[in-house]
Amino acid sequence: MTRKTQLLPGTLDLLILRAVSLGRLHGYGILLRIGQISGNALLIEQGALYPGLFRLVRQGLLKASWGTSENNRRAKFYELTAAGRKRLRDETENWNRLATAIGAALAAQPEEA
Amino acid sequence: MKILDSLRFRIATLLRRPRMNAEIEDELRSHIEHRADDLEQSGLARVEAERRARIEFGGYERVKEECREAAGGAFVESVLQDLRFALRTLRKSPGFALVGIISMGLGMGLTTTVYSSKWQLISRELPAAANAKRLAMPEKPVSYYYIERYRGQKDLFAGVAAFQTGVPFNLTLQGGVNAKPERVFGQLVSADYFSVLGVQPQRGRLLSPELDKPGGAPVVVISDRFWRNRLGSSPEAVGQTLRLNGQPATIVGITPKNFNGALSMNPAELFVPVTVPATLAPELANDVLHQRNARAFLAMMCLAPGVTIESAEAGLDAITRHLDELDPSAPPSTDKSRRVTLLLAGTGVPLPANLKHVLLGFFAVLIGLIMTIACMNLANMLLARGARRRKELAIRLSVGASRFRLVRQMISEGILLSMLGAITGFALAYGLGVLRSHFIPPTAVPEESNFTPDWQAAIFVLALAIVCGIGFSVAPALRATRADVTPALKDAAALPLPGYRRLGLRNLLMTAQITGSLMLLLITGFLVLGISRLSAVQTSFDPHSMYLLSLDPVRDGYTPDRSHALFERLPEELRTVTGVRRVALAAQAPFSIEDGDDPIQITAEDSRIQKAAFAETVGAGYFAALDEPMLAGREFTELDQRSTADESKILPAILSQNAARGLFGNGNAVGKRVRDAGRSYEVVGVVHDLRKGIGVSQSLIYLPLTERNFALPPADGITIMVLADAGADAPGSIRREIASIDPRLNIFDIRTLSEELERSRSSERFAVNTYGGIGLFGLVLAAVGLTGVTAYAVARRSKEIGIRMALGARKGQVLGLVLREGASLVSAGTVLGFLGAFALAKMLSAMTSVFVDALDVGTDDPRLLLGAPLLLAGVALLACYLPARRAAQIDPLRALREE
Repeated sequence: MTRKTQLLPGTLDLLILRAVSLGRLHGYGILLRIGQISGNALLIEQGALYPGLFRLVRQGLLKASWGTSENNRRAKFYELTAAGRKRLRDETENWNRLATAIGAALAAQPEEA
Repeated sequence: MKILDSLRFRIATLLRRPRMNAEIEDELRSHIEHRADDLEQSGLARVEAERRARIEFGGYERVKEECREAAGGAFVESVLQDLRFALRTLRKSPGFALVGIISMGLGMGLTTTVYSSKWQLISRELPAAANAKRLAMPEKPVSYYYIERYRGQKDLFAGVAAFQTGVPFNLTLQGGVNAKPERVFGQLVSADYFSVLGVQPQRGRLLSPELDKPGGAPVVVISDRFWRNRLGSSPEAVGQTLRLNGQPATIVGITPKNFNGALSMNPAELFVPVTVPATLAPELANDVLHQRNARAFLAMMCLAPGVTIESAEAGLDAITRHLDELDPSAPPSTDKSRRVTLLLAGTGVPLPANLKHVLLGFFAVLIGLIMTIACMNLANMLLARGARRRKELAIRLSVGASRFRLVRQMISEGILLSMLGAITGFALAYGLGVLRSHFIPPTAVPEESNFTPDWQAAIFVLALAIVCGIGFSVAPALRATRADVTPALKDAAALPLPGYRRLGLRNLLMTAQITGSLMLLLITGFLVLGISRLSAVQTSFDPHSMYLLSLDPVRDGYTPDRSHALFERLPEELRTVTGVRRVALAAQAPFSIEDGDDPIQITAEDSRIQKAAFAETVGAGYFAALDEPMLAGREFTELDQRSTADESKILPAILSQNAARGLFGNGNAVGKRVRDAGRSYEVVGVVHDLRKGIGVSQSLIYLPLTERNFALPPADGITIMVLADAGADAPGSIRREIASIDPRLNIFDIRTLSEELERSRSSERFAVNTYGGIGLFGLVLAAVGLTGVTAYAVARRSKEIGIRMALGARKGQVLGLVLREGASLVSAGTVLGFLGAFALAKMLSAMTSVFVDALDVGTDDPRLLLGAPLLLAGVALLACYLPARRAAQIDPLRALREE
């Protein structure tokens, strides 16, 4: 098994938004999609996904509706709302800036005399 | 808005809760099944796949909980959970719950009573009056002429109306001429009265200057109460004609519900415009509307926007001064002080702005003291209980409950307790209110006496309950959860209990409680003694044997002359009735005081010394009827009673001892001249100081009844005093005698002097009972608190006591040991309470004259000064003694073996 990385706090919401932005998904589907788009590099406890989903719905970033899955089972499907789409854009930008800055900081070499 | 939204959201989630739970379950199960499907596809058996899926999923219940929390509503739910748990805990210790609820209930009940009978009386706005916040009225009545001048001050007042309150009308609802009239009370108002108050009609129209002009057909506006009680809410009421004092008047409108006129302490049933003829309202006789010195009207003012009561008062004072100077008949005055005092008139009882604040402050202090004592008590009990629950709390802490959660839990318990207390208390106050309105005898001019608490009081008490619930449980909760977990778990008994500390929280609470109780006991004691001493009246005869009855022939249709003639012969004729010993007439009942009875300024003509005195108008033989000997001179005779009220004529007057001494020193007052604002009098006699209303050393001046009084009797008519032999049916024979003179005469308000005394002092008596009750309440609570705390201390030390006794300590020594601790707290509290009570009494006296007399008389009573602390100390020591005795009976063997 490949070594998996622990998630940074707060990043799960971003991943969920990203996964759902690619299409309407149910909870388990979101989990699979995150695995797929992250190259299975992240360790996500399955149960931990759901409080995040409820939170996002409450914040109005996702909307949920019941439907039937590809396995012919009842499942709750999530989609992005307009607010969710905007949040995803903003958060992605933030993340990129942060990652660049931290990357630059970590890559900095001592100045040559 | 945000708070509201989130609250709505929480409530909505709460209501959706069962569905929500099901939905979460469905979703999580769906996840597990999808996972199991995948695992099955990779080759596992279905059962195994599902098991694996569940394991992978992690803590199912925890996730569910977290989802619920994330979805909102968790807070409300956990509060409910807390309350449910608290209810269970309380049910498990019913003794504790009962004592707590009773303490809180007593406190809340008293507080509600104080709030609804006192606080609301002076703070509740006139119902249905849109301008209530801007209303003001001068303290003293002025002439209609002045009010018209005031009305011109557009920069100060948006409107100024004139009115008289407590005006009696002999009412006949349609029907025959022979129908017996009923006496009802109303107000005589200027046509702009309702627009100044900002009152809109419920039906029909109210009065207006455009429609109600002098000379028009007489109209009347009736109150909602009149409409309901006398006309059975008839939809055809508007347009109907009533007979008032024998004259027809058409109902044009009905006031809104609950509106009983300005000064709602004396509810008005009718509102008659001043434009009606004087035959309908004798108050308007003698062209009173155009006489500039007939101070017959109260002014009701609506302040112009942005005008403060202070600036309005200053402006009004200047105008009044100016008007006084223009008045040729008024005596020139160099008086520099304010001539006008403006009262806030938007409430049932108009008060000067500063007095209102002082009174509200006093009631706030009273409520505060009561609630502090009750809360101290509960805090103490919770403290003791927290110590007993140490083990339970330690267990909960060790299995992961956060301290915050535990504290919240204990505070919920406190709030629950205090809410239950509040409900008990509210019920108590409600009962008291109902009881009170049943037992208060009706007064001559009706008084509003509905003090049963309403929804506002309910909200008040509920809010108070929440504040108190949090207040008394925070400290004990913090203290109890500070436990060190490990030793607590090992052995509850071996816990390092907080040792005896001189300044420990518990002792501080206890001392504070005794201090508060003593302060309450003393202050209320001062008031009780003071008020009852001030209002006591002693007569040399049995007050049950004197009957008072009232007649008002002018309102039965008599002309002033006929009325005078009637009163001329009436005493003679009544004296012939068997069983009647003495008869006298007066314009007011003896020893009583009417609202608006203000002292007048009396000046001695030769020395110019002034003195304020209450005036009473009495007839021939008044003092003989009361069995009061004259100290000097004579009393009024039939001859005086026959005088015309001509301004130039010098009338006789009688002074009370106090007034005579104030005006003429120790010299002889008889034969001297005095004058009031209008005329001169010759002093013909001096009498003992008889009490008027409540008070210690009022000065009184007695003026003779004259034709003027017979022409226009006061609101409660002319009072006929009849001293009868015991056992004679005097009222019956008098009634027959008067009926034989004229059957149309309406005799009203027949009562004995003792009933009159009861009635005129009922509010004082109620005050005495309330304050007495409050004082006793403090005592009871202090006792309950002390017993509880001492009992706890004894229980805590039972092992120690056991050892002492095993080593040979005698019962007396053990008793002393326990009592000593209590005694030191009691004495500290007593000293502090004494100091506090006196400081408070001084402060109250300094702030307002309302309490001065009562506190002055009350504070030097040795019975109270020694009695109250002794009583409290006695009760407190008894409260310590009972548990102490139990401690002394501890069987050393059992105490040592226990735990």
